[in-house]
Amino acid sequence: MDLKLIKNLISMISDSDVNEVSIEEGDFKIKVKKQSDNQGVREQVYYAPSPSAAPAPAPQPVAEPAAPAEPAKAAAPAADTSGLTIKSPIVGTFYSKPSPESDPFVSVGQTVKKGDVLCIVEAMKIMNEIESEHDGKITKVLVQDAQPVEFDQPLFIIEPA
Amino acid sequence: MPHVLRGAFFLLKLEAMSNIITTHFDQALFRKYLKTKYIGQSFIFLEETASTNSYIKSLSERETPHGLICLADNQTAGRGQHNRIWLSEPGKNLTFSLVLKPPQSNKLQLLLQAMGLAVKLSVLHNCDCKCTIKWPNDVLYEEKKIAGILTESTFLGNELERFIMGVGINVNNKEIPLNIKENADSLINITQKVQSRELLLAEICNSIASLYELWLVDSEELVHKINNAYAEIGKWVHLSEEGKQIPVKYKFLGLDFDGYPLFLTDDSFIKKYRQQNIRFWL
Repeated sequence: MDLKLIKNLISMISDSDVNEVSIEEGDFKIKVKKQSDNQGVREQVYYAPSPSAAPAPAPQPVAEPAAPAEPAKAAAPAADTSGLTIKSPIVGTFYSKPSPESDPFVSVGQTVKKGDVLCIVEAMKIMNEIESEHDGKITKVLVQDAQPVEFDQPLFIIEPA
Repeated sequence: MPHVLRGAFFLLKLEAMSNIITTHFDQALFRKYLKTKYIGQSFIFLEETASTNSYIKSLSERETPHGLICLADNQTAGRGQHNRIWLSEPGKNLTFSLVLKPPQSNKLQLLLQAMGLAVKLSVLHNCDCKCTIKWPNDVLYEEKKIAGILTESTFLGNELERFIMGVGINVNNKEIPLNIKENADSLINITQKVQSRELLLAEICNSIASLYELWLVDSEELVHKINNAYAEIGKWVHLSEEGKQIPVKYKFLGLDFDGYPLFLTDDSFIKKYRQQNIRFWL
């Protein structure tokens, strides 16, 4: 298997609905996993060393880092049409409170006004405050404190006032 | 004209009495050397404030135009990473924040690195002092910190409202507190000369203005410039993930074109960090 084949494989998968493919060919093994925007999967991309160089150690399948539990993955909020969805504008880590000791910015049942800070998404040491676009009431918090989030991942559901 | 004269007099005074460090920030002198269209053209000077970033955030979005610089002569509670306090003596250092309102929110992390680069280039230009940048947000001279950057942004929903970079530079403070003396230094100690804060800030504005333009049109070229400024580039470094040091060394390969750090692992994989909280050091 050469690099071109791997490249083709990756573009094939990214164009398809398939999320994950594992292929074994003799002692060469490759696993390609799609990082869908809506999944709270931490990205760690590994590029395999050229496999043509001797039947050396087979590239390891992507090692899943010890990511915290990801309950939000299941909470596909598309089903929830009763409110407005606040999505993450960037890739990063979700923080529900300004510092570990403080209270969360918002919690379920709380009324918020346009411009109120809902959470922080930290990305590459930049603290991004996400403010509400709407007046309303928080009906759902879809991610947990310190959880990694992807671009466009739903964070809150707000019932408009 | 009076402005220019005052500037000249100010410089002479510095030369003549190099032990006396003025606490007065001469805005006219700063403007004289400012060559930008936006950055630094709006300017707020505060005698004293807790933190310039916090001050900007207390103002409405409309009150803080693109390119606004807010400078505090005495920042009493400057924040570093993880809410560490950034200490600064009144009238001696540069503690300021810059507001940017980019038309896009992609690759913002490159702007933070660009600010480090702007400080590095300006310190070289004005003080003839060769620094390196340290990912994610410091500028070092011989492994001692001379500047730090704290970056915050606000989004209204998905729209980036403003991007605020708070910068603290140790300029003319001779006394470095004992507890940080091993890790920090100031330009006056390194160069043995009083440095003009006005000229340095103007140069930083000029430099970040051109790097910002580059970010807008050719961020790949910007990445090359940034990567060349890291002390750790191409070197094997210690690394911690989420506060836990890993047992092997990785080679730092620089940022990719999206601004994420890349490493060569000890078993010849290339690893990119996008979300994990990492630190690395020589």
